Amino acid sequence: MNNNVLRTDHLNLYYGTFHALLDVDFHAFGKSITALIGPSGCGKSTLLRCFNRMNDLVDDVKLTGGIFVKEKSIEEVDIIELRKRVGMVFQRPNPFPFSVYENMVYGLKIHGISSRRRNEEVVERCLKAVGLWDDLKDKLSLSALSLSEEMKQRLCIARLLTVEPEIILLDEPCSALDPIATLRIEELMIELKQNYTILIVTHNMQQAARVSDFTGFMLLGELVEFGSTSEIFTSPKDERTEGYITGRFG
Amino acid sequence: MIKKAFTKEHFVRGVLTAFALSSLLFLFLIFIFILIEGVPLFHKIGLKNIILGFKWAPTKGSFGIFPMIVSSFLVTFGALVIGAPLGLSCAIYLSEYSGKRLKLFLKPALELLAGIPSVVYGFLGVIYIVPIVRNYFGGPGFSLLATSIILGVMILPTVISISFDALVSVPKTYREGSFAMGATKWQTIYKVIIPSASSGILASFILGMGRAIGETMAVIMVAGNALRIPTSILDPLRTLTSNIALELAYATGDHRLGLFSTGVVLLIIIMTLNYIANFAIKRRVIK
Repeated sequence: MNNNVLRTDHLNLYYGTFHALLDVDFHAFGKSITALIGPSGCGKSTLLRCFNRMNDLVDDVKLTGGIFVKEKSIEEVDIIELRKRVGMVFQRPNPFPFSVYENMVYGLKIHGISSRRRNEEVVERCLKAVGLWDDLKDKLSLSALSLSEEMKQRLCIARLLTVEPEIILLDEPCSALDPIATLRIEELMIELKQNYTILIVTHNMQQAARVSDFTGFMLLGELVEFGSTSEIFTSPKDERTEGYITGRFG
Repeated sequence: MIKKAFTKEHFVRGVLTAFALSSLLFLFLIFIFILIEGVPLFHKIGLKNIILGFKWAPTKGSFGIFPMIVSSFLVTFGALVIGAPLGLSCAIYLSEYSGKRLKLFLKPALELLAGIPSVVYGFLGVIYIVPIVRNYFGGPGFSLLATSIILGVMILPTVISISFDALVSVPKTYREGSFAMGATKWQTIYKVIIPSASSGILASFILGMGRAIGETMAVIMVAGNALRIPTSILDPLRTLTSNIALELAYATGDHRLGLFSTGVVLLIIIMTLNYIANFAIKRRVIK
């Protein structure tokens, strides 16, 4: 079980002259949830976005060090293939302004694996996996923008599952949701970890404590401490971690 | 003291309101004026005889403008066939591919293109496009094809700037969502960004059509102005706008009224197009 699905090796990242990640050695295990916590601007989202090369979309980014997915450097993987394997859910739910169905078959279409029979099967399976099928099975032609924020976020997760990723990156997936919706998305994450490796960035320490198996604490671009969640939250080794989780700053 | 300041504010506000409303007043006056001059002939000759009539011989009592209505739509459609793909491609390039420096250069160039007087376009058309059409495709050169090419270029700034605005206003999160699923850049543009911006792009086409149908000078110079429905793209034709501009100088009596009737039809077509464009844009904003 303790296989490194995601790993970085002396990773440094610069936005122009700003040094955003400092020599980060990070790893995440398969079929588990790893949380990244830390105050705003500490680099946790930046680190998350390294694994599917979303930072490529930003101008003027420089990287040194290694990033590995399943112990293979991502430099050696085709970016399209990488992003298919390493899916991502964003802070604000971002369904496309099309129908629910069109959103769900988008991934199949772009990867050229869409066919009528397959689409129906995949849409049903993936909507079931996120608990939307019963609500939406008769409303697949509804605009995705008319759904509630929670349903939108579930839809985005379901949309991701259609391309069968192995790893799911979640960038503060609940920050636009109310507390009850947040709890329900967390339950979904725990269900999903049976089949997927999940890496989540969160502002919400309680959320990290509730859902994750491992936690990394980041501060000013540095991965200060990494360990099992219970360890980090009960007996942190670094005093900065302790300061953060006990609410002295952050 | 306070009261005095208050009245001064009131005065400024009143003057500005009057100025602001004056543009509305002008629009209203133009509208009324054209209707007063143009509508009586519809009564006298009959709506059907004017709009669906084939023969325009105003000194002999025939006021049929059907060929011109058809011609106006044909050149507008032709302009769209040439200007829409070109303009949309340019807008996509500007919003998705071009670097900042090129954008800084291209945007003012487009504004300049919009600022070139239409007589210059017409002149270039007569000197270059018309002979090319005549030599390579046949016919007199003054033709639907030549007019469409000139108008296609003339609507470019409208199409580009409005569809560019529509494309850049597509939220970044849609792009990220698409890329994060492994879509290529072109797939993202083609399947997410263009559909998301479709109503704005549509509005840019419709406003481009409005510009093309209203254009007069350049059209007179290259269209040939023949009074019939063209049967091929190499035939000359006369649009509604050309008709008014060509004949107003010497028209009197019913002939003059006939030109105003032409104006009424033109006004209605342009208002309809603008209404549709506004509707398309509004739908986007609400969404």
